[in-house]
Amino acid sequence: MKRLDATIGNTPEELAPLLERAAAFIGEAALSPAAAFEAQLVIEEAVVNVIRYAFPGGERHDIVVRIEIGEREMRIEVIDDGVPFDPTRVPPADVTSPIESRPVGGLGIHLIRSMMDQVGYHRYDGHNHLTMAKTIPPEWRKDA
Amino acid sequence: MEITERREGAVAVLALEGRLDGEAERALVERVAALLDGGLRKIALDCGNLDYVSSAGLRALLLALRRVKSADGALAMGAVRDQVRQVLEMTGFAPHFAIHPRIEDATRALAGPG
Repeated sequence: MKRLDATIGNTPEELAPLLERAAAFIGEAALSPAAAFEAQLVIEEAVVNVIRYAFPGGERHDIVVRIEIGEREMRIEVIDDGVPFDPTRVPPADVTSPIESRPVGGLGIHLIRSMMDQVGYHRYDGHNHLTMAKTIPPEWRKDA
Repeated sequence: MEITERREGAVAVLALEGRLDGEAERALVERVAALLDGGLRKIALDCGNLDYVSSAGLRALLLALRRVKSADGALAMGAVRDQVRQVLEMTGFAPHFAIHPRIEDATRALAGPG
């Protein structure tokens, strides 16, 4: 099991360096750029939601992003101490209505749901824990 | 993300390079709006070097498409990489964007007879 624990502040400027670290870690774990792409995407979507909604007072907080790569599974957890928010209860995004009038919200959680096999939320110790897990497909192995 | 612009006849080609995310969102919409303000109506997005798109990037594409359509223009995409295409497909965006295998096909389709 390989593991990365990264802590950032709740500002958009800290997102890009975090995503670079995530991609580098996934590369070191011998997974393909496709794996890095999906991990970066779901992390961006989850963290952007936290930055945008978890701290209505605007105060500085930490957000922890943990990536675990095991034999069979990639697991990503995003932890924050903001207001309780369960993204798994967001209604499905509208991805079929006419593009001219389609609401633009909800796409982030839709992408997380679409890309990952399991998405779970728990609130404990005053923290939101969003966990996103995916069985590593064979084509993600660099040596495949 | 870097955006570079070139012309193929009446078609403006915007080459997108890098990451279409929250940081790049506004730049793309403004660039498309500027082309429309300048009287251009046919815009091709060259995605051959576009590595990444997030929901913020999708929002930018949607807003750009709406602006083009409301100006009676047309927008096409070419050379979209697999993972970016996957995101477009997962979100139901793909059928609304004329996506061509190569950028030349996108510009040709836009230039077309009509």
